[in-house]
Amino acid sequence: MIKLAEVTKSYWDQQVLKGVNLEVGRAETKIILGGSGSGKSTIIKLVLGLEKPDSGHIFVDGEDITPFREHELMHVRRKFGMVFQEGALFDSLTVGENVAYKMREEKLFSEEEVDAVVRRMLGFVDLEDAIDKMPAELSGGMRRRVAIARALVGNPKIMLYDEPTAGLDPITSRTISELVIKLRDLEGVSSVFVTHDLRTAFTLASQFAVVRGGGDVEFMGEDGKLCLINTRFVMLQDGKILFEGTDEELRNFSSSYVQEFLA
Amino acid sequence: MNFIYLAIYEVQEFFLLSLRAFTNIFRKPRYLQDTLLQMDTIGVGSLLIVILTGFFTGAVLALQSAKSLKSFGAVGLTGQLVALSLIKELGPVLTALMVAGRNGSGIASELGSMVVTEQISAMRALGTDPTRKLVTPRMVAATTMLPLLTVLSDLCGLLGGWMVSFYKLRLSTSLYWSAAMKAIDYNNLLEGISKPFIFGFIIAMVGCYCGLRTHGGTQGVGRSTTQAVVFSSILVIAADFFVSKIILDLRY
Ligand SMILES: Nc1ncnc2c1ncn2[C@@H]1O[C@H](COP(=O)(O)OP(=O)(O)O)[C@@H](O)[C@H]1O
Ligand SMILES: [Mg+2]
Repeated sequence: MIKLAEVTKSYWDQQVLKGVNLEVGRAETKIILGGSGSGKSTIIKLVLGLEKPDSGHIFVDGEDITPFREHELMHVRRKFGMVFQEGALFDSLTVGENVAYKMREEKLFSEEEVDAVVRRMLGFVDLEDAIDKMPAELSGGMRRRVAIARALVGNPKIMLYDEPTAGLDPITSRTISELVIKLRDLEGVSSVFVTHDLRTAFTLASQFAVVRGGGDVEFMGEDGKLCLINTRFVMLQDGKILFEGTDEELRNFSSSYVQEFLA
Repeated sequence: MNFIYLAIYEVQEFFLLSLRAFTNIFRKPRYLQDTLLQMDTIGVGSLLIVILTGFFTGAVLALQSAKSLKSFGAVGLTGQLVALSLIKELGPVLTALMVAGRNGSGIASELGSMVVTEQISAMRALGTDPTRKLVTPRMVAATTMLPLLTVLSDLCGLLGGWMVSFYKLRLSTSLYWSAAMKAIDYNNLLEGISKPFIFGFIIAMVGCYCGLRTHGGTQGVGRSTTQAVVFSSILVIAADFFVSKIILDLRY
């Protein structure tokens, strides 16, 4: 669904990406690891068309978006749900208005329809009570969850997460990983998950969600027999992809950079 | 060399942003709600400071000009001098400088913090063009509100001038106002009203441009805010010179 081919990008005289090749398939999750400043956020911004590559091509659903102008990119962006670092909620709007933003902008829906979707999305992230709060009143974890709810409006086929668990405690991080796993396993959403939080990364790569008889969602770990193949790691170093593969392969990868990162 | 290249680049980006903000007026989607909100913050929000600066400017003008006019035995012309200086120059320029300090900085810091918290990127990701939703409403609000504020400031200035003339200089009310009315002709009014349109545009666009090019976190927001006030103040005064020059050339 997403393909980056030999993408390079520099800001002024600093080359951030030096020929990146990356592919994300249907219902697949790519976890991008890398130190800060290694260009992880830049990859996501390029995919959304928020930034333009210096060279190389970016394909979304087979369509080359690199030559697109801002208004042509709008229909491409509709396929994505984006969760920014820190959430990037509009701080002049309430939580409910933030989630409703996209539908109100499209002007195709009645207020009842908007309200129903907003409540459903906030229900999914378990924050129905916060609907009338302002973003400033929320904790960091709640802001990320609202950001996920806002990104889910319009049922995007691809979710992009930029460090959604950075700076959160392990329990809140766990809640967010579970949301991501649910979207991947129950809704078939593809995702690019940027993080340097290894604990969350390995949770995503080793657990899956199943629906039990009563409609309850249960999370199960992969054991010896089972191995998740829809979640793969990508390791970024100095603007290039150093490694791509499963969590087991990553642990066994003999590179001092990777081993230092995992330590 | 690098500096010149950078300066040309910035000027070019500024003009491109201004051009886009302007052409957005003629195409949908338009953000009326946001425009009204900006009109309220710029127009209603600046009322008090504009009234006060206008009043005291008029008052001090009367005080100072009466002193000079006395040596020619022409104290009776105080009203005319006050009105002329206010309407053509001081009203538009001082109002613009006040609004630049108050709203230019506000625009830059608001947009700047939206940039560093990625709200601008989020807006684009959600399918909104930030120039339409953020820049055009501010531009429209500032260009429409500044002329109104300027007229108000002029009126307060005339009132301030009258108070000094009446209570301090002991001029008669009718003498002051009839002298003032002589200065208020079509040409002067045109000059006094066309300037604030241009100044309003400058203040909003410099504020938006500085805000949107913010980088470097919270510190960057502070820097953009300062830059917005400094640049828009300088540009307002420079534009005042050029507009005055053009109008003078046209007239004579
Ligand atoms: N808009 C920008 N202007 C200039 N430099 C930038 C910009 N965005 C990112 N960079 C630089 O590019 C590098 C990679 O940034 P980023 O992709 O945000 O890294 P990461 O998300 O991996 O921490 C950093 O060194 C950063 O300073
Ligand atoms: Mg980042």
